[in-house]
Amino acid sequence: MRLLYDRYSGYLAAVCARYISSDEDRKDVLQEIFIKIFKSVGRFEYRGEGSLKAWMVRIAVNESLRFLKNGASYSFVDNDAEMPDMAEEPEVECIPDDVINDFILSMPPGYRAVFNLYVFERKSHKEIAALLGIGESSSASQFLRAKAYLTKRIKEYKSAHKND
Amino acid sequence: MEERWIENLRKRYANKQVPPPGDLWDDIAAAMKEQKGRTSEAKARNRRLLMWWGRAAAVAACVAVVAGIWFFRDEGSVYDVDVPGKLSVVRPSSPAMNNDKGDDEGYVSEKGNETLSGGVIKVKQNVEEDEPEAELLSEEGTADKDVKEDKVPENVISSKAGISHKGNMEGNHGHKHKNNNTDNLLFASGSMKKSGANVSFGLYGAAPSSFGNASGNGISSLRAMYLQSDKTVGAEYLNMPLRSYSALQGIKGSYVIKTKHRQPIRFGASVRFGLTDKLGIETGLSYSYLSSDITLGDEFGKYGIKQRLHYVGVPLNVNYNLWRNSGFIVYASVGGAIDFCVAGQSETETYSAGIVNETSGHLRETRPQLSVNASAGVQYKINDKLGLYAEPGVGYYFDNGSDIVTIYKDKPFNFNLNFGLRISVK
Repeated sequence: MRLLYDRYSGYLAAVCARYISSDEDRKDVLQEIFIKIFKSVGRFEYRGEGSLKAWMVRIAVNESLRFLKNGASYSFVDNDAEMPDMAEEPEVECIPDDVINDFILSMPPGYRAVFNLYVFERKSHKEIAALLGIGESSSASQFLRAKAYLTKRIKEYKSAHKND
Repeated sequence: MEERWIENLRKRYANKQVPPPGDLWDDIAAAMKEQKGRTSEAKARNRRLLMWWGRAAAVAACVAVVAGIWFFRDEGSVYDVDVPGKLSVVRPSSPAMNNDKGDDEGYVSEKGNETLSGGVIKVKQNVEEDEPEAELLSEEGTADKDVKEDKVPENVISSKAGISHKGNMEGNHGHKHKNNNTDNLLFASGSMKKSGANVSFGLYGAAPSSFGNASGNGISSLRAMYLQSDKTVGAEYLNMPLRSYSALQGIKGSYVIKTKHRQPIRFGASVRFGLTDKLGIETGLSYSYLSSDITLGDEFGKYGIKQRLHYVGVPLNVNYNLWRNSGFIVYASVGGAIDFCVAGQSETETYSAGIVNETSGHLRETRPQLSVNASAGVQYKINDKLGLYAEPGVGYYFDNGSDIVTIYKDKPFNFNLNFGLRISVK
């Protein structure tokens, strides 16, 4: 088990770091994730290279989402009348990973969940809707807002660092 | 095609790692240990279940014997009855057997068992029993499609320093049967004047591919008892499904898997119906115990997995008496068997950075194991009631498609030697 931990804790910590902003909460969730993995690894069936990691990451995502859902601040702002400007794409190329990560963590939890699921877990809006118990259109609009938020934060970052 | 910025992020984060909190592992180990304590009740439940299986086997054996005696008396003719007593010369010397009273219950019908360890490898291990499933991995509301929701073994971890496995070979004890009254009449159906029912009952033991030295022949060999296969993992080996360590195979890198299957230990009760003077049909109930050690190691540490499976089977054989004289009968037997795995455990120990962790869980094998076998036997009459027989044979175990690796899968052709005593009741 220690070997599994040694090999994969970094990956799983990275997953949690996209969903959970507090260090303390992240540790608690990581602990739950590993306990769940150790309990159920006996039933994991090997299905090819990388399947173990994928399986562990899924558990990590599920637990992170569970944490977000249980959080008081988890909400979707569907009634926001002001739709973001969808023309611009976030220019992520020149932004360091940890800065991007901070931007993601600073999103409202609802945006964050949809954004992570769509971008990193490659879920469709339909799948995200099912996972989060929201409407498909709600998932799409949450994502657009998250994208606009990211674009805005990147712009701010770039203007602050343009002289670097 | 996703937007460029999304692809960029995916690529950058695909193998992203961040250091986990420093004391996370300690907290996990402590939490697992705590949970392990809560499963003791479930453990007891499992032990009771095993006990019932043992009792059921014992009752079946008794019923077979009683039915045979009744059948025999009802016929009003005196024919030979092979009775209880086909002594199991190999006694299970696995710690699981010795340590678990619940398991021992399964051997109540094995009264005449000779204790002949016959080179069965004894592995020292802690007496902790396996924990049955106590909790589901629930992913409710998260629609994790690939993670099955069915009940599965719960693996429990605890930190234990210094658990050791000792390959403690037990030598043979050189037990010999004294053969008296060698001039007695032929045990089997030699006295039969007419074709009729010839019912034999037996409790039998088996030590496939190995020989106890009940007859002092000294064939017994530790090596023969202990099949080994050492393999360096290649791509094709990675695809070999084995549930108990399949998870570990997802780990990239070079590591070596060593699989050691101990000889199956088998005993049970049999009933033989004589169809003609020479032909008989035999069925019954058997119990088999399979154990394997699997170790998997790499530069980071080592895993040791102990796999134990318990089968209850029903053999069906046709016996044909080839030759007989006043003291011996030589016969041939062909048939098949179907075995069901009634319980299975796996224990995993990991060694990493000087820390030993142990997890245990239940293995579930739902697919029956079919086999065919052919053997030739010789039976020697000790006295009017007692016959000693040895029955070398070969069996073939069909792949049942399960992903649990057993000696039956690694060595489908299995030489075996059934031997013991038959008591003839008049």
